[in-house]
Amino acid sequence: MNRLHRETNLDDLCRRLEDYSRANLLAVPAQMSKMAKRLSESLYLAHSTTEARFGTICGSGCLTSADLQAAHRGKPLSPTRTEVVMGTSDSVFFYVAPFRYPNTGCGFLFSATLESEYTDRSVATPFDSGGLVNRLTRPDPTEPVREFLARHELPVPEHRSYLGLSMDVLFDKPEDYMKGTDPGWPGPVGLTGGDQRRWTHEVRIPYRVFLRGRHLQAVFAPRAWVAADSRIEALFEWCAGEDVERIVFDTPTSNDFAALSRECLAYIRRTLY
Amino acid sequence: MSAPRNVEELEIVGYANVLDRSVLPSIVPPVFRLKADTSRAFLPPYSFNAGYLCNATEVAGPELDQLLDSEEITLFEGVLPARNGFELWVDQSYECHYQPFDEVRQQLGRIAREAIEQAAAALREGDLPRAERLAGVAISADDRRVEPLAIKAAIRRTQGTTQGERLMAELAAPVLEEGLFGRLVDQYCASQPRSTPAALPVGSRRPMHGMATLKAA
Repeated sequence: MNRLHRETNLDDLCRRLEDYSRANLLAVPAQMSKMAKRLSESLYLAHSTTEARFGTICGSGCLTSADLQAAHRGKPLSPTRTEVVMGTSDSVFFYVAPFRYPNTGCGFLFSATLESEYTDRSVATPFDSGGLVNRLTRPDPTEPVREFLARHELPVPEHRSYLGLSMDVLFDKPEDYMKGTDPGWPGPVGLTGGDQRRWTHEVRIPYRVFLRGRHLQAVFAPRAWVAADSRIEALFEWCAGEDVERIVFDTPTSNDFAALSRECLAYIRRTLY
Repeated sequence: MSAPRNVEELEIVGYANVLDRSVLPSIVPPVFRLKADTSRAFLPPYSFNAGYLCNATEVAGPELDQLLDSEEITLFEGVLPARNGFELWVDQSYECHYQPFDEVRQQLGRIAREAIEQAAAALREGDLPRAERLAGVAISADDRRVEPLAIKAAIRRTQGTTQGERLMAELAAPVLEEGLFGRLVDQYCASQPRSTPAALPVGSRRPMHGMATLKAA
């Protein structure tokens, strides 16, 4: 799908949001609120992962697509794997939000400027595309899942204008999107089920994204992993020299994801509010 | 989120991580499933309350295979009955143990103590790779211990990596004040065998080298 098609999708989605607000008597502000504008324009691109894979990523210096990982292992991807089913196995995935992929303990935040480097080749959706396979229910279950996805693929970085609009119209307040509080109104996409990822914007960038570049904003990892794994240690040393924020934290209850989420939210509040 | 489940109704089929050897031993979050309906599995994040597993993510059996394929979980060949107050951990040879919470802490504490002693001994013998590996084991076993960080800092100082030494001091900062940490690193450095300074290449010899020791004619 080309960029023009994605622009048409964005126009269509904005129109559907206007219709939705009219039908539900929701106020659409003439101008985006300051908070919605700031958050939607500057929210980071978040990629979190398991500790074992985090070490490999730090060692290789880049995030890679499932296709490239499979080629590296010399083993094809299973046809039932979510990315294969969705046709997205050539992509690296990010949420435009705090870390929301459960069961992960380490992560990277990239600044929003990363999107401007991939305007032609990357794609955004106003939900987690992988959720369409098992967790989310589409308004018309007979519509093939890939068609539903294609209808909602939006241009990058312009998808952020829809994000800002929906923060003002659908959520009680824009911070709710960031905190992970469900919107008061589900909105025009019509998905049900699942969790916050049902309405979290996703950005997919093809093949690989290098860590050691000007877009890396912050790296998060449990203290013990930074000290124990020399590949993680080396990335943290590089970050120190480049003024990339390094967030280390303890995981006393061994619930790494809870600690990771808490640290990420605190960092976003500190830097974007 | 699934409804709370009595832990006694569950069994463990694996853990929600894929571990690299560099981070062993490690406590891991179990992947549970219902004993009465083995097609229903429960993944972290979750919490425990009064013998109940709360706020877990429920997935269907086939989804476990997908997670295994995408290297997000490790599955056992058999199953373990779930017990309240128990923790699952993986030792340095990838063997899994499921024990009461206090026993796990004791075991890991012992592994950390032994690894610190062995790492310090390796450092005294000048075997830096072995000292580094054992310090890693100690950190993974008990992340509250500061000695393995000091050993790694001493190794980095010996290697001339000031940034690495500084990073270890930062990691230790919540536990030990910087000056005290520095003294600990000094001690570990002093314990290393003195190496004979390597002979400088001829071209790099300083012009006045050895002049002061020459006898006057």
